[in-house]
Amino acid sequence: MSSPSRAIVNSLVAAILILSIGSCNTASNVYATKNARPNAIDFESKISNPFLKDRVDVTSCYVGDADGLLRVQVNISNTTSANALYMYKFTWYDASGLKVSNNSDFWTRRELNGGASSEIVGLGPNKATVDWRLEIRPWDR
Amino acid sequence: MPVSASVSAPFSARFVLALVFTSLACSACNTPPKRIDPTGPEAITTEQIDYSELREFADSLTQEMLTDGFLNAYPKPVIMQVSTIENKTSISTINTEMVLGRIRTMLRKDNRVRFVATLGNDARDSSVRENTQLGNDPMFNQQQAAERTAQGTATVPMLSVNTQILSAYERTNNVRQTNYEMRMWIVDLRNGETVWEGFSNAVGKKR
Repeated sequence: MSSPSRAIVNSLVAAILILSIGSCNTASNVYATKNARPNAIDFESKISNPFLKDRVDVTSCYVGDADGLLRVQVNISNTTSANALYMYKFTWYDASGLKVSNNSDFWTRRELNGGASSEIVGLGPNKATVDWRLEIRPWDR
Repeated sequence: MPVSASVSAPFSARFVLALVFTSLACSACNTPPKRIDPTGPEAITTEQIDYSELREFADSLTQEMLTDGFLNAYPKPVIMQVSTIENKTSISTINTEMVLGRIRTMLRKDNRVRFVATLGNDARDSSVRENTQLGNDPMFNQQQAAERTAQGTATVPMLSVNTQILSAYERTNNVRQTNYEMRMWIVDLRNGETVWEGFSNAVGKKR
């Protein structure tokens, strides 16, 4: 093989290696979450927490099956020393991305003590539910 | 001081007060109604059970029931009736149907449970029984009356649902607290055994 064609082959091999390393990084990022145990899922795209992020911080998220229904657990911690009042709401979606009409999309109010950790748990309304979103926001007494 | 000034001063103060109160009352009357999310940040918090808490009771109890696994021992859908709904708090205005209706709706959506409207104490439909008499009424099509009325075809429930809304009152010198929760238990009507029971999340109110 001539030196120009060898150079082309080498470039191709290098490009494939770079691409494969890149794809490995992408795959691992999907599951990389803060302070997470194994099997935690990426939650950045599923949780909306624009106002309380500095106080009620989502640390990890788990999804499982509970008797055929989608079950979600979002672990949170209060990073400050003051109590935090927050409310949350789950919205559920089917495989087509359509909202599952249900009676669970209401705001639930909670209080999280300063420095404490807790869980927000939701259960999909039926077996067609495959996806979810969670909103967290503050509330006043 | 002139006599007229000493007499008129108190009257003018009353007049001003009356004017202020009237204007305040009018401004309150003129406040336009505003539509809000009934469980959202604008919803008020009272000393009693609020709407969002009724929703929370229903949601947490349904989650408990559906994830317990006891329904797997029964055919799908299992037929239920609502037997008792007791308000055991001092609040007379709790809308127990709002909680129970949501539990029923959520269970129905999961397709594992169906309720009868012929027995029990919630969402009864007396027309099922009334319609059984149509076969004796010459006004109605007798063939349809035979086909469409419950003549030996009404479903017999297998499970019975019972609910209680409970409260516990606590008080120290200056502070009083009431805790509320909802209890639910399900009885197998074939043998009278309680096959499931659970409590909702508790809600505490302090003042």
